[in-house]
Amino acid sequence: MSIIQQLVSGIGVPNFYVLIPEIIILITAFVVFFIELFGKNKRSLITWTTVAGLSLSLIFTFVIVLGILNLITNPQILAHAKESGFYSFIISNFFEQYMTLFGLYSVDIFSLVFKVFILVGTLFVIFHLRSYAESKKTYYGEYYYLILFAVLGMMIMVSSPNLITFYIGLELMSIAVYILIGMYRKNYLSKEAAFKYLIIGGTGTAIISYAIALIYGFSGKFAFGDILKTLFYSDQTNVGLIGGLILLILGLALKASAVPMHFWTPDAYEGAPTPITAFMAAPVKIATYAVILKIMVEAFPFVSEQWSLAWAILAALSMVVGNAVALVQKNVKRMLAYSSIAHTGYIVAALAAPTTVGFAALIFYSLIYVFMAVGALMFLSLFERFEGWTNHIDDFKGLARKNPWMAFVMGAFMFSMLGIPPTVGFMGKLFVFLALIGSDIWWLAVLLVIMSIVSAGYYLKVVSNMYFYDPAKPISFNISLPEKLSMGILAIIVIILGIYPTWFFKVSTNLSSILISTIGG
Amino acid sequence: MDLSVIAFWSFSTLAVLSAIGVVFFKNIIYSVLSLISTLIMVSGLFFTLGAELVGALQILIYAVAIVVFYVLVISTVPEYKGKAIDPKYMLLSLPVGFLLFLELAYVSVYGAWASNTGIFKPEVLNEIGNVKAVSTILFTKFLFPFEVASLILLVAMIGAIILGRKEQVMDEEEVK
Repeated sequence: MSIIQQLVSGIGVPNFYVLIPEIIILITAFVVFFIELFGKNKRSLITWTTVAGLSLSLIFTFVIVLGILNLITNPQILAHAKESGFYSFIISNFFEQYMTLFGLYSVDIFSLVFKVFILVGTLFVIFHLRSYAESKKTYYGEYYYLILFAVLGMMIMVSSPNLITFYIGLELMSIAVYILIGMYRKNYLSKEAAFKYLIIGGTGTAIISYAIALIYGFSGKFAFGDILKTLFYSDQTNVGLIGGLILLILGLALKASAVPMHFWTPDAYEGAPTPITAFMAAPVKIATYAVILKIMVEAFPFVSEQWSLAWAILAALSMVVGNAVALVQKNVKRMLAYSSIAHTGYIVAALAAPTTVGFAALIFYSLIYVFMAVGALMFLSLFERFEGWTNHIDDFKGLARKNPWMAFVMGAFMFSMLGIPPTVGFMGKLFVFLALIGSDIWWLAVLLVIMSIVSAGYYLKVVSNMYFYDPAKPISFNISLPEKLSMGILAIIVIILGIYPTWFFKVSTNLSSILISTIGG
Repeated sequence: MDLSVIAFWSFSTLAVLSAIGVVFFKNIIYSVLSLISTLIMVSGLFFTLGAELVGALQILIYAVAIVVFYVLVISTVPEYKGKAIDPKYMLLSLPVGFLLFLELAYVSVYGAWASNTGIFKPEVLNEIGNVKAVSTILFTKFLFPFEVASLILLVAMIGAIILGRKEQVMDEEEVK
């Protein structure tokens, strides 16, 4: 046996079973690619292939979740583990099969839950994409497989146990999104937005890659677990660690559009085709939050004091700037872009309290944020199809009289983003607030409340325009029943979760304790 | 004097001289030629350090592929735009450059970094060489990122074609 054969002899075959959702997405992307190239009468075929691929992937994600839950709650294994006295050892042995591709890809409950929400958010976007693109005469089949590639990138990103896998997933996602923004091809704003995001986002990935190089220089490892071990045994003032961590936080903040790295957000959100804006605001955002949480908790728990302060400052700035600038916006799409910056502030504020409660609040808020963001932006995408609708705040006047159902739906999303019970946005803010108080970070908790009150200025303006004014423009809307239904589902989810958030909160608390338990192992 | 010492000094002197040339030549073509010279000299430095793979990649990717792009760009830009303008960014670039210099000096003088302790011990490396070592690790453990990188290139290529192609007027009748 040659020396190379000796080196690689123990490497084995990766477990492809847990990769099935990703493989389905990849195959669907290529199938759509070929349909788009060669097909005839292809528009509905492309849509339905994409929907089928996403749903199939969703089903298999659920199957894997059930497999893991069976494993955890299997009485035989539990009894065996308790008898032998090596509980955590035996359990972790069972989970080894979910760590595949030679330790570069980990499929755990945390990543699977986020994958479910990414896929659900994308399904809603795909559902409304075609009618929007056709009414704007900017339909291209490329939308669909680029979205699928971006979804694949996000799935890789959230289940990365390793800086290299994370980086490659981030890059796949970002490049697909840069292109998607520029797909509104007859519009100058869209091109400008794509170019701006390409330049700034490219800078962001460059910063992250430099950070990874510094962290590698410090620890000599890429895997989160190995970085953590090095961190434990070495002094925490190493220049590589400090520089790497600062740059990593800055790069991730840029991707999550936290102030002061938010300059691309309003232009990119406004210039992009509206369904793509929804895609960027919901699935892409929550994948970024998930990966921020994962890296911070799994790789750098021993310097949590430092990074929690950094995220607290970023969160405070995002809340203040996002809400203040959103107040003066007249265009609702641009206002929602600034509101998304403010929401980044609310969500990463939970990282200021590096406890189980804080992480649970972050997970909870980012999961429910999908429904609000997709809902509000999908509403705009539905109405933008009609002649005369410009997303201006005055266009909303008198909507409740013309179309009471859609006005109610939009009202639900606005109240949820503002955080008024019984909508779920209130629960999200409440949990972040409680987590902050639990860790005695009063200044940020108070700021969160004040900024939520400030945000009423622009969210309620939309609602009051819809309900308390006479119609200003003679625009006729005809929205089909499936579209009304899908928006209704989102609104009802937002309200029901607000009344009964127990199940969601249980899931996020469990996820956060699983995340913390990986530190010991 | 040892041959490798002579090689080191000549390569590094030429690299620094051509780097100065890149900055101070008024003619843009001379600048690019000095850039190629710098890159080749740096790859020579890699060869003297025993990193033959990095040296070869440096020539292949930087000195050939990337500089060709520069030449293409220069050939499409009108001549008057390629003229040197008054260096108003000099004030900004000097402190940043100095900071970078300090950082690199700190790293190389104090050796602040841990070295990787993987499966490739020095004696193994001596036996099989750099290329085999890198490819072994790239096609086994890091196979997944390597494959996903190909997807990234595919997406980037599709994007360049979509955004760059001439606008074709899509008739509704034609599609339906």
